[in-house]
Amino acid sequence: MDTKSTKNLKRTIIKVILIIASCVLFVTTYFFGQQLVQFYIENTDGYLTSLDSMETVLGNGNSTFAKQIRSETGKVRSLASKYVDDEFVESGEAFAKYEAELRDRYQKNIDGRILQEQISFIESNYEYDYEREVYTYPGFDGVEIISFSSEQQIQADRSFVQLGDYEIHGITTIDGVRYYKGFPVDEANIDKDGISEDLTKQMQAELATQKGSFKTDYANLKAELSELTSYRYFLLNKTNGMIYTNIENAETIEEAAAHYPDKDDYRASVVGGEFSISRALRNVLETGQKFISGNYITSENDYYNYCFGTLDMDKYDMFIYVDLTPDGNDVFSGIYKDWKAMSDSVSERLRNTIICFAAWILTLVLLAVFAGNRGEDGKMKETLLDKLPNSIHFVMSVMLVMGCAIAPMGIYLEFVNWNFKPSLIVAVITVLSNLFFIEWLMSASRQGKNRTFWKNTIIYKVFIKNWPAFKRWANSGINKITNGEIKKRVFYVFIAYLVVMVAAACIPFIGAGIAVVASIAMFIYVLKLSKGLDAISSALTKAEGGDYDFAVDVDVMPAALQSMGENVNNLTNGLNIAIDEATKSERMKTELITNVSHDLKTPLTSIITYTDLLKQCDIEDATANEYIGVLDEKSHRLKKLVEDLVEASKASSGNVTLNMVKIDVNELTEQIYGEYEDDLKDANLELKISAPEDPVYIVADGQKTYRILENLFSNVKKYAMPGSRVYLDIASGSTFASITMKNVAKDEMHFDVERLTDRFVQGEESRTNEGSGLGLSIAKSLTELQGGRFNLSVDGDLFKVTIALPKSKD
Amino acid sequence: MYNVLVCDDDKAILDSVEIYLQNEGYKVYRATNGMEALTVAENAELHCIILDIMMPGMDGLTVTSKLRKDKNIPIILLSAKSEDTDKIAGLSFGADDYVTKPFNPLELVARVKSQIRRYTTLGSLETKDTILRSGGLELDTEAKTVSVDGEPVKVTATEYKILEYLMENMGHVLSTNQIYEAVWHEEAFATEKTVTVHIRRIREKIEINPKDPKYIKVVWGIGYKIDKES
Repeated sequence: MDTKSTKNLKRTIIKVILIIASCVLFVTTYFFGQQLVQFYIENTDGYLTSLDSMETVLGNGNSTFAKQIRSETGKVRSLASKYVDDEFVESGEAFAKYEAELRDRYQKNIDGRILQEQISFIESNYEYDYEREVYTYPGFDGVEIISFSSEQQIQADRSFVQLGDYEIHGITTIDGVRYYKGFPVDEANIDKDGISEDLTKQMQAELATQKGSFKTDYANLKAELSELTSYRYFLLNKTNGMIYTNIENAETIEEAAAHYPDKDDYRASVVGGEFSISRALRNVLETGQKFISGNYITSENDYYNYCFGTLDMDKYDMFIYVDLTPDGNDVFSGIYKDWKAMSDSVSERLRNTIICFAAWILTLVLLAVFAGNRGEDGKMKETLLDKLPNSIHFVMSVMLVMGCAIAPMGIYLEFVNWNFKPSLIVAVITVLSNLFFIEWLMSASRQGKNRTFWKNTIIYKVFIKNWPAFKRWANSGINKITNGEIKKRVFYVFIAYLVVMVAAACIPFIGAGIAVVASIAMFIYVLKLSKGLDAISSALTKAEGGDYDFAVDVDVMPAALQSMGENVNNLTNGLNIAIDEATKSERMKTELITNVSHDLKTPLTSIITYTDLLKQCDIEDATANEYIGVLDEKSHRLKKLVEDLVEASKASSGNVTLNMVKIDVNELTEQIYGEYEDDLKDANLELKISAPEDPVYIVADGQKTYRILENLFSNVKKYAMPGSRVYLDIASGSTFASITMKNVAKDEMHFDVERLTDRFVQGEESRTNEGSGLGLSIAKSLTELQGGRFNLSVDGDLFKVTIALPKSKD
Repeated sequence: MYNVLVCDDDKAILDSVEIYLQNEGYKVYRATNGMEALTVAENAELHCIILDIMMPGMDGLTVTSKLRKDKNIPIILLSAKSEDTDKIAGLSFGADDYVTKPFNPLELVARVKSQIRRYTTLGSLETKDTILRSGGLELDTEAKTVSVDGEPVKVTATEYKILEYLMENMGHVLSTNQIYEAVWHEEAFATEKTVTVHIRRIREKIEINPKDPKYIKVVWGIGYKIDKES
């Protein structure tokens, strides 16, 4: 027997039972809830107020309770004022008094009614003069139009005459004549007599009835009053000292009140003109003011009226007390009983609902406990829905639950025209919501047991799981922004600015001011940055142009740029120093060359001079003469070499001052030809010059260019094949003019062309010639110094040199 | 008998120059430094002074300027400094000539001769409108003769015309084309090397060292000129 599977089976059975129980309890709870709601609606006129106070049950100033009090008080009053006592009634004096009062009342009514009719007549038949604020009428015999001042008019409007039941406004009496807004009232043409007659007839009728029933009414009244058990009264007629009460052993009002010590009961009294009313009673009368329009209570007088009506407080002192007891038969007891029943019923209903609700909760808890079946690995088996992220699952469940709980209700109310009555059917239909809720609960419970609840939420899945990645991304982002010193600082400033702006946006009124100030500050910062950058830029430009003495003022720069400024300063400083060094070394080089050449030339002078002297001596020894010849030749060679060396050194190091002028190339070649024609003739060479017809102008140093050509010619003299021709071609290009010298070499040229222009390289490897090997090197250096190009090529026996020099722009 | 002072701190050079000058028949005075040279110049009648520049104590240029305060004796500067700037400097101090070491002794002698000739005949020279003069070069436009340092030089008609043209425009650089047109009265066109050849021949006649001309100077690529010279 597999214990695991039996265990699971048991669990499943339990769960099913629990679910059923839960649904049942849910339905009952729902139903009871509906009943509660209904109770509320019915007993508070549809408004939810607290059920724990009697006032809501007793109602408000218009309720049965209030009316009843008024009515009972009215009876007592009537007893005191109308009937007084048995004797008074029997003697007929009561009725007589009553009759007199009645007549008087009627008379007043007649007067009042007449007056009112008169006013109506005036208003409908005469024109009102708005300027003079009076009614006008065509001159009546002997009667003048009266015009009232505005003061009088206002006074008139404020005045009123109480005649019986009629309250008349706007009457002004002058010299015994009554006026309504300027119109003598009695001039109004109405049927006074008719009215009088009507009312008098009414009076007669009433009197007759009253007389008939006077004594019976009295008896009935007495009976009614004696039946009152809940309503207690004490009335004192101050004029004759008569007392009316149904309170035992009470001679004075104080004694009467003392019978009912609890001051919070429903009581009111008027003693010596002073009115007081208990809080409970006041609340009853007040209740309903809050919810119902139509003010029953507008002033303290109203409370008085509710309790005592029009009782004359000068004549009477009165105390009333409502003693609610369930024992009595009177209407107050009835009210009390009703309340009690309802109150009980309320607590009962409430209790039921809560019990069912608690039970329902219990089933849910148990379901949670038993939720899930353990699988092989000890973990709870998860259903499909469990896989949903919990927040989504929860929202779904909530929506379904609410929907299923509320929708049926709505549909139901719709069909019964929104008259609320509890409905069991609705309760049953809404059980679906319970099932949805259970589903969610079990799922949550399962996940809880598996400890996967938290992990199954979107928050976890999206944020927590990805937190390291997010951190990395955020870090890299921050790095990108802060990986530069200046970037970082500017970024911080900007963040501060952003924070201030956001804060400013949240603060009303001065927020805008703060924003403006912050923006200005930011702008100033940006300006400072720009200024700093400009300063650095201009320093660099100056340095580029050669001015290294310029230093950037680092102190006025914003922090971000300070290190940059210092770097620039260091750079220019360093450059300054380097350039000073270079200049110094250049100068030293120049001095070296001149000094060396000078030192070489001095002894050389003596050598040459003395060799010459030797030559002049009469020496017969041929060998000696031969030796002298060698000395002579070599010393001259040495002289040439030293001169060439100095020149080559200067030319290649650029230590040459050039005097660049516009030179006519043809002129130059003619001058040179003049120099070298004889030399070339001696070497058995023929020079052929070809040049363009138009003059070719170059920009060059004449002396140096001559030197170049001189070197070339010297070469030609030494190395050209005797009897051959030497060609000198001048050509004009777009930017350069070229001079090309071509000759046929005397000896085979098996050397590297490139190396010829190197120093000390001669055509012949044996180096026996007069040349120093520097000629071509000097020629090349001098050419290039003038911005020209020097080209050398060998083709078989043809030796070709091309000098290109920049053409003159004009 | 003409007297020549040679001043150089290098004894070997002093000796050699002395020999050459004596061979020519000059009386030679010696000095090894500037002070000595000044003393000799004070006390002896000199017709030419050869002065080394690079000397200890007082250098040749200072000596020159001191001498020039009250003496007109021709001074030839002798130096291993061969830069143009050095030559210009030397001449601006008041020297009449500048010879670079190593030098051709015969050339040196010739220059001495030329300077002395000029120096001694200077006083008796007439100044006429028709005479064009530059340094020792003299051209008589009336007589159509040329002389250098007093000695007449034979020149061809064309050579004379060239010289005359150059001397009429003393100090100006004239191109070969200009010279051709002025002398041959024809448009300069494919003049070949006519002008340059003539110039070379003139130089050989009037210059001490045609390779280093003092009168007909070349401005390369532009032309030739004869400087105004006292």
